[in-house]
Order: sequence, then C-alpha cells, then structure tokens
Amino acid sequence: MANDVKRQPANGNGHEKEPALWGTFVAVLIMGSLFVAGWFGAFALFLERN
Amino acid sequence: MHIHRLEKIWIVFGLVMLAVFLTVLGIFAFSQGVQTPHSYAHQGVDPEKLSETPPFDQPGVYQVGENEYEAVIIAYAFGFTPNEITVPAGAKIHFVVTSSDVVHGFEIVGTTVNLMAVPGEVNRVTYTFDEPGEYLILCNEYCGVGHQAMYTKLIVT
Amino acid sequence: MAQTFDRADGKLALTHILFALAALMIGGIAGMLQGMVRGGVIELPGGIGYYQLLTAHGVLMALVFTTFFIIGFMFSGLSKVTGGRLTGTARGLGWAGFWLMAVGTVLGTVMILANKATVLYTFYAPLKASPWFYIALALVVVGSWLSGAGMIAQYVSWRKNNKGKISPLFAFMAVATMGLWYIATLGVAITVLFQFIPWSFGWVEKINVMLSRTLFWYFGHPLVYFWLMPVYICWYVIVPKVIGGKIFSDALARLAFVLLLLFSTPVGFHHQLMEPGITPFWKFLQVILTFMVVVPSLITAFALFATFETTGRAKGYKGLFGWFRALPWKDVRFLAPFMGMVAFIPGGIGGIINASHQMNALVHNTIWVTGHFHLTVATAVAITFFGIAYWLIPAITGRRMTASINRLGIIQVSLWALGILVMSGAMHISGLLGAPRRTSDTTYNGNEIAAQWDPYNLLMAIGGAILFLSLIVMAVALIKMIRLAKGETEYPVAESLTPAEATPRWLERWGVWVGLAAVLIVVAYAIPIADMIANPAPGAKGYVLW
Repeated sequence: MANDVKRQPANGNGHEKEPALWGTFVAVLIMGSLFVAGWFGAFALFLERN
Repeated sequence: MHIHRLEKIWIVFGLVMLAVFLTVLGIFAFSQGVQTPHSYAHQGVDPEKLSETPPFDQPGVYQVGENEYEAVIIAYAFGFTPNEITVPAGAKIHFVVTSSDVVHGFEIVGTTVNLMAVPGEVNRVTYTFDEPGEYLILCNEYCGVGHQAMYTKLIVT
Repeated sequence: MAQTFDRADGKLALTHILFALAALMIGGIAGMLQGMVRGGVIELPGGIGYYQLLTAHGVLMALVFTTFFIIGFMFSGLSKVTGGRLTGTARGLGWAGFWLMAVGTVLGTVMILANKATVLYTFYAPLKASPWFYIALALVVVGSWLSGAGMIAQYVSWRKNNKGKISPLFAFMAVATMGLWYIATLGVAITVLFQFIPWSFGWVEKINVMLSRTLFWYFGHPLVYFWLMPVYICWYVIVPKVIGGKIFSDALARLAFVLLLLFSTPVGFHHQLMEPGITPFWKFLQVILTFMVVVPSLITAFALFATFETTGRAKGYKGLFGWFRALPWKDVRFLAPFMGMVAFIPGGIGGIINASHQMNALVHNTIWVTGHFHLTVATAVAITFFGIAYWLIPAITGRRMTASINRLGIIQVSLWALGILVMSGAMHISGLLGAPRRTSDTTYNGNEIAAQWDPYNLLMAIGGAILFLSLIVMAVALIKMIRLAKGETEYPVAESLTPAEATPRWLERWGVWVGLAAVLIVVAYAIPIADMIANPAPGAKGYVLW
C-alpha cells in the first residue's frame, strides 16, 4: 500500500523489540490536548465571571 | 516492569499537565485570593436559635466600607432573608450565609458566587459586582417540594 | 471450541444481570418522565412528584443497576477464568448477597414510591426519610459485602490450588474492585448505621450534618470507581479478544488497578468544595489526590489505543492510523465499549474541571454536573454493560448469539449514544449558563435569565426520549435472547501479549496496597473528620419537606 513509511517498528532505538506505537502516541496526545484546551477554556470562563 | 518508551513520554506529559493545573489553581487560591467558599474556624450557629445569634439575629446588607458591604443571609425552605438585595455598581460584598433548616444552595447566576448553606455552619465568600443588572439568586441544592420556587434577586444599579 | 458455561454459575450471574436490567428499565421510565416535565411537555399526574421520580431514578440507576450488573458480570468472569466453576462457598455467598440486596432494593423502592424517602439518592441530612429507607440501603450494602466475600473466596481458592502462579487478570481486577468497595462502603455504612438510622427512628434528636455529608462522600467518590473498574475489566480483558488481539501489557493493567485502589477514596472533598466546615487546605490536599487518580485512566487510554494498534498492525494494516480500520465496527461487542471509551474523553475532561478546587464554583450543582455523569456512568459504564449483555446472556445460558441480536444491539447502543449526545450536550451548555440541577419545572417567575435555559430543557426531553426508545429496543432484544436456540457463545477472554513471568509479583501483594490505601485515607481525612467530631457545629433536627 502507499505511504509505508512506518513499516518497521520506527522507534529511535532500532534494535529493541518494542512495537510501533506512533498511532497510539499521536492519539493520546490529541486526547491530552483536548484535556488542556478544555481545562484552560473553563478556567478562562471562571476568571471572566469572577 | 517494561514500559514502552512512548508510554513513558505520555505519562510524563500527563503528570506535567496535572501539575500545571494544580499549580495554577494553587497560586490563584492561596496567593491571589481566588479561593473556595469557607467558614471561620469553629464558628457554629444553632439553626433553631438564629434569631438570638449574631449576626443572623439581624439578617440584611450592611455597609462596612467605601462601596463595601456585608450581606448576612439566612436560607430557609423556600426562600432567602433578606429578600432582594440592591447595591451600586462596583460593590464588594462579603456574603455570610447559613440555613435555618436543611442544606440549601446559594447560586448567583452569571457569577462565581455558588456556595452551600448548611444548618449549623456559616459559609463565606466575597464578590465584587462590577456589572449593573438584575441577578437571579437561586437555590441549587434539593431542599424539598418547593425547591424550584426558591429564589430571589440581587440588583446592581 | 468454546467451553460450555457452568449452569449453576450461569444462573447466579444471569439473575443479577436481569435484576440489574429491570432496575434500568424502571429507572429509565422515571428519567424520561423527568425530562418531559422539565421540557414542559407533560405535567405529572397527582400521586407522583418530580422529586420522587428523581429519587427513584438515582437509586435505581446509580445504586441498583450498577451494583447488580457488576456483581453478576464479575461472578461470571471469575467462574470462567478460575477453572470454569465457582466453589459451593462462593456461589452460596453470591446467592446470600443477591437476596439481601434484592430485599433491600424492593424495600427502598417501596419507601420511595410511598413518598416516604423523597430525599434523592444522596439522602443529605437533615432531610429525614423513613428509617426503613435507610435500613433498605443498609441491606443492599451488607448484601454486597456477602457477594464480595464470595468472590474473594473464589480467588483465594484458586490461589491455593495454583501456588506460585500469577492470578488470571480478570480475577485480579475483580478482587481489586471488591477491595475498593469494602473500603468505600465503610463510610456510608458508618453514617447510615450510627447516624441516620438512630436519628430517623427518633432515638437521637439531632444529627451532625457535616459529618454525615463527609462520610457519604468518602463513599460517594470511590463508588464511581467501583462502577468504572468493571468497565476497565471489559476494556482490558474482553475487548482485545473480541477484536482478535491480545492484552497490551498485563503488568500495567494491574498497576492501573492498584493505583485506582489507592487513590479512589481519599478524595471525597472534591464533592464538597463549596461547603463550609472544611478548610481550603484540606480541600486542596484532596484535590491533589484527586488528580493522582486521573493517572491510571491516562495509562488505560494508552493501553487501549496500543491494543488496537498492535492488533491492527499484526493483521497487516499500515500507516499512522491504518490499524483503525482493523477494528470490528459491526460487532456490538466492540462497538458498544468503544462508544463508552469515546464518551469517557469529554467525561474525564469534565471531571477534572469539576474537581478543580475554586473552579468548581463555575459548575457546582448546575446541570453541567448532571451532563458530566451521564457521560461517565450513563455512557462509558452503561453502554459498555449493554455491549457485555449481548454476548454474556447467551454465553451463560448456553445459547447461540445470532447476527440478528448483534444488529439489534448496534441499533440500541447507537440510539443510546445519540440520546446522550443530545441530552448531555444540552446539560453541559445549560449548566455553564447557570441552570441548576435537581430542579423541577420552573420559570423562576418569568425570569429572563432562566428563560435562556428553556430550549436546552427541550433538548434534554428529546434526548431522554431517544434514550427511552433505546431501552425499548433493548427490551425487545432481551425477549429475543431468552428465545434463542441452544448453542454456544464465546465468553471472550484475551491472552496477554507479554508472558506471565513479565508481570512483577509485588503487584499482587494486597496487604501492602490495602495498607497504603488506609494510610492515604488517614492522611486525607483523619484531621478534618476528628475536628467535625471534636468541635461539632450544633446538630440539626430532621425535616420532612415533601
């Protein structure tokens, strides 16, 4: 298939048997950004009303 | 226990995020005076004897400084005493609140005044009303069959 | 070939599950009526009050549906993973627990319908219900202790017969869950037995309100983790098998449960942030501990995505997110828990906001909070349980789950997700606009500000109606499941990617973990509670205001 950039476990330490988890990593970072955005958004609203 | 490199980074990210939240909250609460409502140590009042217990023997709004007031409020099923408060714009109000019966809420919609009126306890919060208008004050803790009718007004001129 | 499920164990589990679903249906009727009343669509007939319905809804959904489903599910899993059969002791305790809880449930429901306990499921003093309501609650709690003893007996028996081996993951997680439950229910048991029952019988005139609230919320927070941990069991142990993969890390899964055991309880003050009688210092300390309990959920999020990704890549899917397409979207056994996971993201964000010390003033007792817990317990937890029921009921009754049941299940959970989106979405926005929770239909005498909340109340009614429709579909599915042909349905339990030896044994040192949990509780609670007892505010007499 096209775009086989991540075919091998693409960690920095190439010889370790760690599985490729870049998709997971990006997914949790997106989730984490939602947490940060949501929290600061709520805090901004709180300060505005305070 | 083996932890994947990317998971280690994620956990660090998570801990840092939580630490940042806590630091912001802590600074605002303990150094900038933006704190939760709270009582003075061991200031209990008998809910059945409020009419004999200062300051609740005389609920009302009292001026204590230049555009600064103390609002002594009793929540009861199903209303608030004093009923309707009027202050000028920019007024800083120290709310002093208790209940003469069950637990009530005291929420001033559109502000961060949102505290619990607990019988036996005195709860306090301070707020400055910069914006003129009519504010709805309602009870937001279930207190019985008239709960949805328990409200009053605060008018800022 | 799937092993046939033990019939006696199946009967025990099924009875719990069906009881739970019956409570769900009755609670669902109440919920729908509440939404319609607040949306201005109907008025209640004389003879039933809004707050009665609300009390029934909370008790049946948050205490009965959850507890019975959890206990039934965990007994079934224990049977499956510890050799295929519960011991006589375990099963006997399971039945004793069921009957005690069932009697308590019926008694409590009767009291609520008789308008003698219109105090909502948090039963805050000094609202005073009939003593029989508090006795009913005590029966449910004591019954659950018997159920827990049965599960622990099963676990202990397995360990005796398998010395030196690491416990099956499902069993470990079930023991952690019940361990948390025992710790948590201590608080509510103390307040109900020593405060509410004597006071409601009139043996003592006054009640220490702050102490009762504090003991309740000592219980009330770990309660939600008691709900969540069995959901995590499904996500960690069942879902990987359903998607044709393995458990990403057995060790980290156990660590997550240990962290939940440690940090779920010493945090109750985050439900009391706007109250007097607790200093900001103790509130903030418990806020810090609350944020610690977020960590095992962050670990879980990574583990779940990692399971999906490793499974997808093993099947040949490539690219950053190609593995997403490997997931069995048309399988309700996966789809439902996945919807639960998705809901838990905004649910978790909202939870962190709620617990954020002074920021709680933005949302306290507004209907935002109701929106929050309809994402967490009413979606992440409930929809995962729905997804479990579709294979569990056939599996434990020796019938074959069909494609038709699967299709009905997909329709049912999709309707549920839609209803929640509409209803909880409206609740979050309306709450931020200041609309209070736990409040019957009102315009606050034509108040303009309150009028802003009306369109959201209508959306809540619509969402609630969609949820009710979903329950009707589920009832249809249940009837079909009873009539399924005999056969076998898999009880999906995944294997671990990592070998058993890779899991450190210290994770299973229960004495250490329970001891540490106790230390944290003492640190978080001992001084503030001692103060409430030693320097109490004047007590309150009881009020019956309904």
